[in-house]
Amino acid sequence: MSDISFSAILPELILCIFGILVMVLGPFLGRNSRSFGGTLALLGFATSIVGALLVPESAGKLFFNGMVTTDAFSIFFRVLFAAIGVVMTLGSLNYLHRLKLPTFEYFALLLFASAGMNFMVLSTDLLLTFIGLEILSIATYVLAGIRRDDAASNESAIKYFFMGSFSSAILLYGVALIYGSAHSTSYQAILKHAAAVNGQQQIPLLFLIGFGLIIVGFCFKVAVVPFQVWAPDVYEGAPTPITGFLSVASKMAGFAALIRILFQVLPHDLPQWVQLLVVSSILTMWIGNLSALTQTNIKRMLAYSSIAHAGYILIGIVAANQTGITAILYYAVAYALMNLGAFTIITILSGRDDRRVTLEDYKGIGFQYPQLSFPLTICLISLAGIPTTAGFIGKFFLFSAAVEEKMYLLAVLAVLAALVSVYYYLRVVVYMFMFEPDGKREVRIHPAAGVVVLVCCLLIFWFGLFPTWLLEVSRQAVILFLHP
Amino acid sequence: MSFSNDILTLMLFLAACAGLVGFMLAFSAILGPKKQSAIKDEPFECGIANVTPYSGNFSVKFYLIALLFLLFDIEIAFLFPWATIFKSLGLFGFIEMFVFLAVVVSGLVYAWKKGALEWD
Repeated sequence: MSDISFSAILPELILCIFGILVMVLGPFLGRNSRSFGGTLALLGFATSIVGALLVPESAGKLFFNGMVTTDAFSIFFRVLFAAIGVVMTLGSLNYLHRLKLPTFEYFALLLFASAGMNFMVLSTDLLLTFIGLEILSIATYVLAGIRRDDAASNESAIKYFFMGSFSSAILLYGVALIYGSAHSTSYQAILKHAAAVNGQQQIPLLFLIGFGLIIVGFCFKVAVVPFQVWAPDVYEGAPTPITGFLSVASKMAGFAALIRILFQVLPHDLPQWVQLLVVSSILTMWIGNLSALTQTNIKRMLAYSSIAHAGYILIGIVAANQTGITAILYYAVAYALMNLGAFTIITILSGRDDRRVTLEDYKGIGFQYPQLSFPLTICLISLAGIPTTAGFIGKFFLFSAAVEEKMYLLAVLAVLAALVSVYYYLRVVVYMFMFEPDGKREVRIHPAAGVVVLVCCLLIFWFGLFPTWLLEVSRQAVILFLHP
Repeated sequence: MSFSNDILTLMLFLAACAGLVGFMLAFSAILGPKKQSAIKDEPFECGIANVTPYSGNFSVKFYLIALLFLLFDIEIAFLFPWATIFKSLGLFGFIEMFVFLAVVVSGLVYAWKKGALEWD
């Protein structure tokens, strides 16, 4: 029991304590101190960033009976998730006010969801990974349906709940089969078992099926083809800030856990999953981008766009070289910046009932509200991957990772898919700047959301023009996955 | 090899189960007496004749009570194993369990303050 170290899970403890505080204080303080919940959540996320930076980094040592690691990879994502929490809190303060949503519950769930994501990335045991995933999922099911009097929000929550439970069950079944094969759920023990059986002629079917099911479970969570069908409906119906959260944070947590499982647990010369994921990656990029072309609802369009982005990230996973995995971490940050920036602006523009989210509603706002339309343009061109933005650098390194591995077809198809995507991103820009506005509309920009948008846009350019620092940090974080 | 043996056993077991169920269903369908009547098609409810067709809503309060019951149920489920090895856990286990109880109780406080315990 000597490896119990609370400093190893300091950021998660902070998030949980603040989550409980916000939840319990809420009913005591009542409705007239709404902004207090946001302040407390902001404090929680900020402290969690500090906590994550204070965690003593060590790649080899495990804590809590070999369940918890404090390697650079986990710290990278713990800082990222807490930062996303800060952005979410600032970006949704005014939205909650405007729609009269329960503030304290919203922020408590956001804090719990962040804790769950952290547990997913720091876990070195399938069971802890699963528990982290469930903490995240249950919190986000509720968040998707937090507009209780809105039919679309309810539909979104119930769909997300069913698909999420379904995929959790598949994942858990995979964990059970792995346990049956390796007699342990710890990553180290499974790796040892896998290395032992890899020397034999045949890898046991039980082990392969188990891993297949785990990969399928995660593919559901990160919405890659053929497990993506739930995403557009859920993203369209969920409250707009939560759509941003689902498309960025929970997706990145899924990818981080998947990367750890694929590179730390699976034996490196087990090629079966690579071919599957290559096909899945190509289909994800193309189906996501082609479906987005015809969408008239911005949230739905960005849902398909986020499916396509999951496809780009898969390229880094199948390339499995240093460039690829480093680029995934870089892209996680870039994608968080541009998607959260875009969703914060869409939240501001979404109106009193969160309904003004169609292309028609964006007609002519370009010169009416330049303080919103220019940042949105920046986020969209970064999503499209146009040079000088962070999105371009991320895509460039992801695609070049495929070229390094001589996966030329994959790289060519990816570049073509990215070209297709330019059309629908720029169509929003065209609607904003080249059409006459339908009439005057009231848009109030809360300073907190304004700061978020400004910082996102500046960082998109900063990381796009000077990517060295972030790339170096990402490279340090993934060193443990690279094999000599 | 042991893997395929296990699978074989499992498959035999599945086949035996399916066979038994199929046997029982088939024979009761073939051999059983069939006397249809209107009364027989009615849903059974404690032997009392149905007054109105059932189509009511459950009050959501029942679900709240069930959820609160779960809270205590899970608490007990964790307290039992803790109690059995209480001595070997020492002071650390004692404090840890009270942290757990505090978290659970904070959930109850939340529900209480939110009015989940009021029936009206």
